[in-house]
Amino acid sequence: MEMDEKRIALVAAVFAVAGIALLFFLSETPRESSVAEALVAPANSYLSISGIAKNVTADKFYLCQRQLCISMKKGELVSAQLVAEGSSLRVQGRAKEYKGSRYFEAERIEME
Amino acid sequence: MIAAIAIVGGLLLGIFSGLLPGIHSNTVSSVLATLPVPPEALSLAIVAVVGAHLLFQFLPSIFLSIPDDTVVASVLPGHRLALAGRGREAITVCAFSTLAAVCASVLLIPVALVALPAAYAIIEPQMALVLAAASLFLLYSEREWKKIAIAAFVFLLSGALGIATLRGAINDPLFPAFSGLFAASGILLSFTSRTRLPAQKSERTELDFLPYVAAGVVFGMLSDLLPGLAAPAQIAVFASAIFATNDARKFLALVSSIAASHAVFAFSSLLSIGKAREGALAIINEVKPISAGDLPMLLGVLLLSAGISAYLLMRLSRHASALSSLDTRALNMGVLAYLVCAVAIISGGEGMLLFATATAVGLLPPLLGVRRTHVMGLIIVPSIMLAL
Repeated sequence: MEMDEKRIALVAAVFAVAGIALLFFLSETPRESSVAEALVAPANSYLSISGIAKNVTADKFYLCQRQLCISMKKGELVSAQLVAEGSSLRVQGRAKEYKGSRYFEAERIEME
Repeated sequence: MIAAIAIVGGLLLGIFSGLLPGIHSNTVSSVLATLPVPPEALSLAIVAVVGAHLLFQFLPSIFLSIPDDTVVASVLPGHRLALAGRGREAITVCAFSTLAAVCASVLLIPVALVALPAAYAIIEPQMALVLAAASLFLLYSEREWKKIAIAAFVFLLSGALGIATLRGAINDPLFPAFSGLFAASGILLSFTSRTRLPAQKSERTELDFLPYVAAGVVFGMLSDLLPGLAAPAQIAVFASAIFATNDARKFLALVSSIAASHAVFAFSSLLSIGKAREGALAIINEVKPISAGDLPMLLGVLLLSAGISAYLLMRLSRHASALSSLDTRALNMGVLAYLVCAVAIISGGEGMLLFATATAVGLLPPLLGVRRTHVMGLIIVPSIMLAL
């Protein structure tokens, strides 16, 4: 019985390592999400959100759906320079947190 | 009138989300936020959801051993009591502890408004170090070197799973992860026995767990200093290592009061250090920024919702004996089938992969002879990385 348990543990450990490796591999595809979901998703989640750009500045803007908005950090994206107040966008990137405040680090911006 | 409808609606949605594992109060809140509801009514509805969810999440965790991410540490002791015919007593302990902790925390809000910024200023720069030290303490509690090494392996494997999970795109990732780690792995290991859930005895219990509620309130306040992921669950794991007890009721009192006070002190952390530690609160604050003047109304609704839910929960737990007529194996098969379907619907194909992987990780501690708490590396390791 003890040997059986050890064998099951070994199989479980190998399965777990393979599963984790596959999850790392799959973590590069973004999930369709709303602004509300982005505000509560775990930090580092890879998401794709569409909405209206507001309060556009040189390094960031807000992406809004109805009454909810999330801060978007442009980074060095060339497409970010085309973002204008009121434009309709789709943004791919990761939900981040800085000192407890949620923001979104844009990796790709498309005009809709 | 709109306020009353919002509170009743929120209460019903909170009961629904608490009873159905996988439906998190944050999920309900994010759906509510997309509806054309006035901001004031939306705030009240979301707070009512949180209050009801706090209480009703204990039913599936105690009777069916399905975890919710805030009270995941209650699953094993709670279900153990249910298997001893003391599930209703466990519900009483959780309901009483939650209500007592909510009341005490509301009274302590003025203290928290002053204490949290000072504590945060001290702890925040050292957060990664604090979490790492607490994790080492948890591993060292295994006492023997061989077991410490095995526990470290399980902890790091769970941590790798946590990192892989949380950087991905899985919807509600903690549901498949915790369901695999605790529920599915436990069910798979229990298939060798055919014990039934026994008839459930009276709900009466002794109030000797009150010191644990007091400790839970303090730890709940501390949990609002932690960043990100399932902070009440992390604090509960560390607190359980400090307050080692063989009395499952006292452990349940500790876990439920930590979750309850975390929800209340989330308001003070938002107002004092600007951090919304509850997802639902972050949504309310986005829709209509919360000010100190809103606190009496919002906390009043939280108390009302929790009070009504505690009463309804106690009434509902009287019918728990109906579960005892079912064969445990059939019941476990049903729970497993529910989990597979819920994970597939809520989290999709990648969620199923996560569920299966987490189940494999969850099998390791009992098979290797270490405590299952070490799988909480799933949320602790990514939190350490976030804090770095």
